[in-house]
Amino acid sequence: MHRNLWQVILLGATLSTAHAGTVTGKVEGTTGPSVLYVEAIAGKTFPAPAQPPVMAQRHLKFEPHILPVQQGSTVEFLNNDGVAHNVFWPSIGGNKKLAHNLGTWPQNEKRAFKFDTAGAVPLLCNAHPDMTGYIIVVPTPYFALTSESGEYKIENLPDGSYTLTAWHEGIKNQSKHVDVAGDTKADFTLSR
Amino acid sequence: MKRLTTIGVLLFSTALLSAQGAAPKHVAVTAVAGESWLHHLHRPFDETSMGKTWRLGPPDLTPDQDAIFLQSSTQSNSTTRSHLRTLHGSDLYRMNCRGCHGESGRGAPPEIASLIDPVRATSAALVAQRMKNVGMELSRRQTVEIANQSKGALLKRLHEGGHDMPSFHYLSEPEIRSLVAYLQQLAGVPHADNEQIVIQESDSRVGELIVKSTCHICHGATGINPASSELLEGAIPPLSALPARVNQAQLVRKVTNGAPVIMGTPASLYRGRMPVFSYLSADEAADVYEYLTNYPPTELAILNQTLPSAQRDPINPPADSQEARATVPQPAPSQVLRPREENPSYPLLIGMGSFAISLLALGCWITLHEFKNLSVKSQARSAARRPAVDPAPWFELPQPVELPQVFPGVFAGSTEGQPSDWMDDRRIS
Repeated sequence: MHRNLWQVILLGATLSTAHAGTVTGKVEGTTGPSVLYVEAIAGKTFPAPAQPPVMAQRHLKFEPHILPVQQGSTVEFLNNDGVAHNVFWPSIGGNKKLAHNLGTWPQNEKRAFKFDTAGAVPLLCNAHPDMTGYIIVVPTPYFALTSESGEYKIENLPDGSYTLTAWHEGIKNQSKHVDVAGDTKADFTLSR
Repeated sequence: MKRLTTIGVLLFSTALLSAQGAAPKHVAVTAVAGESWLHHLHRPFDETSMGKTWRLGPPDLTPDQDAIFLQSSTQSNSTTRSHLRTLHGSDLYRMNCRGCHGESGRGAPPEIASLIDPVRATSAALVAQRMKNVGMELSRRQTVEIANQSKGALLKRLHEGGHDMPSFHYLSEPEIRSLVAYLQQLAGVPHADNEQIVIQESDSRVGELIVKSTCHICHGATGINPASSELLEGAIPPLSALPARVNQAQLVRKVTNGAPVIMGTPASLYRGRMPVFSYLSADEAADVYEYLTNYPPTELAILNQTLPSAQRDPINPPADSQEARATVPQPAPSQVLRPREENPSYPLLIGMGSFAISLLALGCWITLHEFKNLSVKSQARSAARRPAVDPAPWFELPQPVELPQVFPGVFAGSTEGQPSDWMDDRRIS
């Protein structure tokens, strides 16, 4: 009985390792971090993460400057500054109807917002025009923020065919088809 | 005819009531109280932008200064000074904001934030322009909403202060209106030049504002008058020690031109660390002196509801304040709670109000009486044809005079913080 159980576990482990791929690569032609993500997969939905990602306002900056989140995530906006901000976004994914004014709130307090639509959210503060940030709402849990030099790694992606998209501040999105089988490489060259 | 008279009486009393509501209110001047703002922040003077002498440093000593300083005349020009001051928003800015935010309003980041951008954010026209410049235009409704929200945030910050900024809850509504209009002009809000508001204030109020908003940042209200050796070590004399240290003419000179300080052992003249407030006039500095002598600084912020010092235990004060109390004579409780100058306008207002109300009551009574008569007569004439007369709508008593809220909308919560009607954005169009 115990032997059987172990066999099942072993089989499961082998199967899962065989089917979980990793995509690595580099984004070139730009400076600073980009966001890489797998586009929506037909017939698949993903539950939103339990732990809400945090977009802080610290020293009159959005921190992190770029925050990729899975669609359906509730993002917490935390004010770490001694001054009030007035956070808003004029659109989501270029759709002005999704413009939203989050308002102002005191230091060390949070305000939450659930992002149900995929797309780039340009964050602005009305009181501090130098503050800019981005929340990139992506349709799957398979995404990564590149390093400053453009390297990325998307893990635990089941083997299969996907559309991989690269987002970079101020540049048009670039997508490419990727067949993932185990460790896969996909490089991007973006241009303005 | 009688009816017309009644209406006249009613209208007159209503007009009287509303006129009283719009009449300028005298602001009660209160003594400065509690620890300095720097003490509250646990920040030594030398670590502040002001303490690093910034743009307001005292002048270098010149050989003839000892003589000038020691000869400072004791005569006071207060007898020739008027007790009313005409103030522009720019004057209110000098008295309340400039000490920290500077002439330009840009402050000394990161210690003191610039107020320019948060003020520009209150103008829908500027918000629209900014969004257009970055290619992300908003609808008019959205720009107005965001600008209004930023206005609410600005007023809230003025009233409540922040972590590093003190609360300016003691500013009256007309003062805030005049000040905010100037802030908008300073920040380059379109057409703000045409919307400046001039107000009149008593000289005590001018002194109070300068003391509470500028002096009190570094000088605590009460405490021990430091010895010259302690001064050299960085002690800042409390405001209560002022009359013991200088006369009015010396203070005026110290504030507006800078004057050397006797420090150290043996006592010698030093340049001193106090910034020179060259932007304050001699009259204003004299107002400071008079305010501090007429309204002696108090240890406890009894009338001050927002500073934490108000919650201090008055029975078991901390050791240092006990010491302070022993050294500096505390003013009598009556001085703490009530300024020496009784405000004459309050009894007058109450009197006029009661007169108006009695007139109103009389008017109502006459009208009621007449209606009764009318209905009795008409009933007698045609009982079935006409129903009893209903009370006319103008019959209702007007609302009693309410003290206007200082910041309508601001307390409704930050998100819903609607601007008060005086901050409407006529300039957007």
